[in-house]
Amino acid sequence: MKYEIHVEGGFTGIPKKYEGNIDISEKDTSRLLDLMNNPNPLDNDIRDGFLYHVTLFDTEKTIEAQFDEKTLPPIIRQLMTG
Amino acid sequence: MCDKHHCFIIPPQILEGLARRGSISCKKTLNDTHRILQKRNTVLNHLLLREIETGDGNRSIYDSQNKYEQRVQLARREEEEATNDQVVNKAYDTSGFVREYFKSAFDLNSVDNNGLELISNVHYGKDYNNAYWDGDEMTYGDGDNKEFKDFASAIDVVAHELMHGVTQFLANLEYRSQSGALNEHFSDVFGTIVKQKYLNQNIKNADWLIGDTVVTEAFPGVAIRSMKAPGTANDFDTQPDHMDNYYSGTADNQGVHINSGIPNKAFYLSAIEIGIDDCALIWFETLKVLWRTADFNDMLEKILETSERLMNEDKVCNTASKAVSESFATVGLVQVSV
Ligand SMILES: [Zn+2]
Repeated sequence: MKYEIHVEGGFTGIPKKYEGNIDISEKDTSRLLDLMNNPNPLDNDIRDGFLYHVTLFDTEKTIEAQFDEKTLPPIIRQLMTG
Repeated sequence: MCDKHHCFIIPPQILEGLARRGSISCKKTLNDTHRILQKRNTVLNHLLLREIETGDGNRSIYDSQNKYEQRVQLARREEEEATNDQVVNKAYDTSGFVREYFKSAFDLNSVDNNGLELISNVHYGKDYNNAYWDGDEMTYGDGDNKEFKDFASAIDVVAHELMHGVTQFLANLEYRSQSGALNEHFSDVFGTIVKQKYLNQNIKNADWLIGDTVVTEAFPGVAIRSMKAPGTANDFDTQPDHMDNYYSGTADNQGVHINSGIPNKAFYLSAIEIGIDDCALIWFETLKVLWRTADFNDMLEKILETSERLMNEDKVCNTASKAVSESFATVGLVQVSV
């Protein structure tokens, strides 16, 4: 499954883009899709936090979700940190 | 009409109108976030048991141990000896310097004027290129050491983040569009002022850069932002220095780190004319009368009113109002007479 992550905001204000293919188990894929479909509400009190716009390109559909420093699931953070 | 019992049922647009006319209590209610309301309710409940306690703004530095978590390991508390970790020590020293600046300049007791504990988290995440304020505490990454480094050691970064706390409690400028750009602006202004104090610089020899010590040699630029010349700090710097080049896109919460370049330049021009201390007082007093949804024109109106008032009280020089007015005019912000 392909992914794109657009990171914006932060103290530096310099945007960054990550893209690639996720190679994870069926169980993890289902968990990831669940997280994408039900993201926690963004924390309005954060200043200079990154905003993460995540897009997953599943075989049949495209799923988009937005996360912040407090709501970004570790499984998505791993895609950026390797 | 605007006591704590009644303001909650007044529509926000009416509160905003009253705030514009100078109602401090309406401004305060408009500024309250859900989080602050929750805190207030907790405090009110505690009042049944005891008096509200005022804190001392004591510092606590936590080591995130490269996890993406806050308050992982307490590394140093107020009055404790320095540790072997220089990042912990720098975060301790710089946050203490910022706290003392606001105390001595404005008699502010910590960021909330009620002695809020100053909590810093250092070594956050792995190669994390950022620093942020989350409404309660500060969090700093070490940087990837390819482009960025040492966020917790940079006095302007620490002052910038702590100023977000001050703004939250004084005006709670909404973090989007022009109010968000003003939120960023106030953090850059006091980041700059505190940096010049910390380094014993003056307006002549200051570099007016924000984040010059967090960029590496390999980074394509000298800093993150420039107050003197917005848009020139690095190859990615798109900050405008005039309303003609105002960013109207949706990125970065509608350009909060971008359009802040416009008032930033006005601040620089004012500081060159009347000095940084008069500017510090004018900007701080202006923040106290702004409200959650204030925009650039509201800022201009209130900063001119504030300058006049401080001049009449002999607290700033008698050219302050003219200098501020001309500085904002230079960046394309002029007061519309009604
Ligand atoms: Zn900021």
